[in-house]
Amino acid sequence: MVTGVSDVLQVENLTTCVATRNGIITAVDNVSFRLSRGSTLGLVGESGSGKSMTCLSIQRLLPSNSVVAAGSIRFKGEDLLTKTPRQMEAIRGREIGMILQDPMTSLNPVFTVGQQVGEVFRYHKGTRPRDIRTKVLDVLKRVRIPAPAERYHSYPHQFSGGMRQRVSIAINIGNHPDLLIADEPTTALDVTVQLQILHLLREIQQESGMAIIFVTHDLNLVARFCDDVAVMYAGRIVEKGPVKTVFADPKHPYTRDLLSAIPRISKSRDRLRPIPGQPPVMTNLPKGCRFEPRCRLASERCRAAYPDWVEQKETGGGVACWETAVGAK
Amino acid sequence: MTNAGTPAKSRPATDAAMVAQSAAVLTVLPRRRRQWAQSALVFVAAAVLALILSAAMLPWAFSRYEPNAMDLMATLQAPSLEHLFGTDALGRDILCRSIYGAQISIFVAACAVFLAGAVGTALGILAAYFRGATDAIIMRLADVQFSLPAVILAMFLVGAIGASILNLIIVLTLANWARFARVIRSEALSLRTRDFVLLAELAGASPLRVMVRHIAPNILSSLIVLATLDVGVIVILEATLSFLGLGIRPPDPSLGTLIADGRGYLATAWWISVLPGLVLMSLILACNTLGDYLRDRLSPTLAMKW
Amino acid sequence: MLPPEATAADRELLRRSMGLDQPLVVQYLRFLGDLAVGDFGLSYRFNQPAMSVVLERVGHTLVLTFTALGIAVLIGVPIGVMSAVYRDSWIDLTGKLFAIVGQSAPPFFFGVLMIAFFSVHLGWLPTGGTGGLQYLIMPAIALGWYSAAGTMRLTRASMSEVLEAEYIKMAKIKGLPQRVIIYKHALRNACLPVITFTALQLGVLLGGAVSVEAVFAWPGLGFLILKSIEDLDYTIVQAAVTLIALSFTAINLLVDLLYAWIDPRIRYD
Repeated sequence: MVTGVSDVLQVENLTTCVATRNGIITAVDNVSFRLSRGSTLGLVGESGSGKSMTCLSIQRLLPSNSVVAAGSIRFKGEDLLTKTPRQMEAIRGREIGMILQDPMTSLNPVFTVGQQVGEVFRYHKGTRPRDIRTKVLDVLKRVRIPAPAERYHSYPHQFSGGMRQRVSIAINIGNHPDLLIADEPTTALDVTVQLQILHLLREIQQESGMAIIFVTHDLNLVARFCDDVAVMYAGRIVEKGPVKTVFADPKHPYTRDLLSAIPRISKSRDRLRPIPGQPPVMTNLPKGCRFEPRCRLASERCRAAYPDWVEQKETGGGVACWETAVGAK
Repeated sequence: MTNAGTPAKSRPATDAAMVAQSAAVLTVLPRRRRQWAQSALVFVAAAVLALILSAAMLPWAFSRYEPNAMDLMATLQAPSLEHLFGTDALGRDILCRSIYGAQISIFVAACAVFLAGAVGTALGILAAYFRGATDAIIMRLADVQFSLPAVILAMFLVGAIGASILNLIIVLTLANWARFARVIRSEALSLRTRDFVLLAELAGASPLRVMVRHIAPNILSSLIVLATLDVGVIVILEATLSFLGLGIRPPDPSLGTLIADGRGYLATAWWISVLPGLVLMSLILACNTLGDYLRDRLSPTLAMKW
Repeated sequence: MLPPEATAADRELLRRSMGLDQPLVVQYLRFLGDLAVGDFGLSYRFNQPAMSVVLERVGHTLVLTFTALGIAVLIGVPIGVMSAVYRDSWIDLTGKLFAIVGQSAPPFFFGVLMIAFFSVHLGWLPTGGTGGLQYLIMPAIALGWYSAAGTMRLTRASMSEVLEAEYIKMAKIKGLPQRVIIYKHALRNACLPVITFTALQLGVLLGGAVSVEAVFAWPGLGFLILKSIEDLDYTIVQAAVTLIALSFTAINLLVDLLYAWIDPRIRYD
């Protein structure tokens, strides 16, 4: 994750607040990361860690009870937070795309697949009306949907989950976006289908140089498909860096626990080690490290103040932990 | 829908800066839409209903006149301190007649809703419990009721059996029970297969016991919601029938007949029709508002079923 | 049915001519037989077959009812959509107020109010009868207002639910303009329950039409039924009620077909 001119996305100190019934929570707390052309960033964390809110913040599609409170989101050099709604509409679907988690509900049931894919061409400049159908068929072929000409007139409920996800991908890649956000795109699919979809995404990425943010809680997939990883906990990034580095030598206790919680067939029959405890209640965060109640290395210092971020200059990664960061003591 | 204005407050671009939540963030947040407007409305509705109910139950406390007392020296008087709602062509005090009219309307509506609810619930549970022929018969009977608009069915029945307060209650019940039956039946059907019912049957409980002790209590909240929403409908139905001369007969006042009485005087004495009508509207408004409130609180599943 | 001065001999004559001296069973069978061929007997008041009298009047009621239905949809749906899109804003609050007041105004009283204001006070519109458009406006609004309120509430509820859906999020992700998202994607899905409701409203409107016709002296079916009940002309009442019941069933059938056409999921079941 070295800083470079080929960065497609630079998120800095992004902070998003949500007004809930029980108070105002900071769902995304000072999140920063970079993404360069053609690379894939894995965004990992438990439910409620802020991964999805981060993605929605980038897309500027937050629900009405949330707002970006601070930070900047530089996409191809320009800060998205300064864009007007109309400008954002032009960017979405064209330069930034997003795949949602549940393929069963992300397509409109009353329109055909052909109509829905065609909309990205219809409502963005650059395609003549008579070329729309051809483009739709092309992109359906690209995502390996069999018999695209017939499927053009089919309705979403006539497709399987994996096929619907392919349609979602088709919708997003039609205009060759520079950034694709995939919010748990395979969680709702069978394992075999999961791999097919991810391989497809990888192919498309290699062809077009599209950058991908891959949100997931499945570390195996991160290991296989991502170049960099950022681990989120309670709204903050606790560790990030290249996948190889982080997985080989995880510094943050949470990352270590996540990795050791994965069942491995090859290793000896160790007991599975789930992480004890629960994530903190977001309306009542401690002033110290948020992982401290569940951490095996916890100390007084961890309770007293939130750990400073220690950066790894070579990789551009870093970690926030009093106990394990090299050079933190 | 999409999030529009956000401040592009840039912070020093270092990953190491951990920022505590500042007061500025709170001002930037979209203000949570207060529900206070809604709550105020419900409160007002409850107050209005309480007022009308107390007037209906204790008319002598609200008016010193008699509903049928004529005063030929004071006919067609506009609202004044003497007669808050004015008088009609026979010198009768309109406010007093409105109160008694409301009394009768409320009484008839309450009885009709109660009976329709009782009959409809019983039949609905029976249909759901026994299925088969019982279900078919009851549903066909319900279809008969549904095959006609309520007003027309009611008119037909009144034409057949004549108009009196008792007959009116019966007619309103007959025109209304199927709505309860249908909803309760579908609720009971889903309850029928739940474990606690099956267990009760296995334990040897008689059908009656199962229906009364186990199924009935669980549909209570739906029933309450349905009944409260129904009151407004029945009040309108009764007022319409009375207005058409098919409901409450003179000399008993009903809000509907009061409105009818004043039709000929709209140019000269508008208060004879309009003021009782406003009382009617307030009554219905209060019932509907409270019914909605109860529905939102007690039974979100009924929220989309109209 | 006879005037009170009729003598016993007159009554006997009438009874015999109407077949009322036959045993009840025979009377009932004859009645059913006649029903089957659409013969409802003679209206003693008009001296015409009852059904033809009914059919003459039906047209007026249909005009009134369908105009009112149109008003209900044309007012109720847009307000409901606006309320849902701008949920919890002042627009929404106004819309809700409209709905709740509308549902509390019985059509006949609303008609009386309108007459008092527009006819008597302002003198703009006539108080009753038929003729041109100015005779239709007030009755149609009086009748349609109540349904408009119900339509608005259902549209709002349905739209609100649909706007939360994932596929709406997807539409925003595609960068579609707001109006396309609301009117094409959301409304198409949200209107299904509204259509069913509107069809059911036809029944409510027919019922309300009776009282509105009475208020405005509109020469339709409702007015006819009312007068016939008062005058004890039962053949007309039977004919009218049967006609209404039959058309009701027909309407419900049509609505089911319409529903299937709009929602492709049902078509393939």
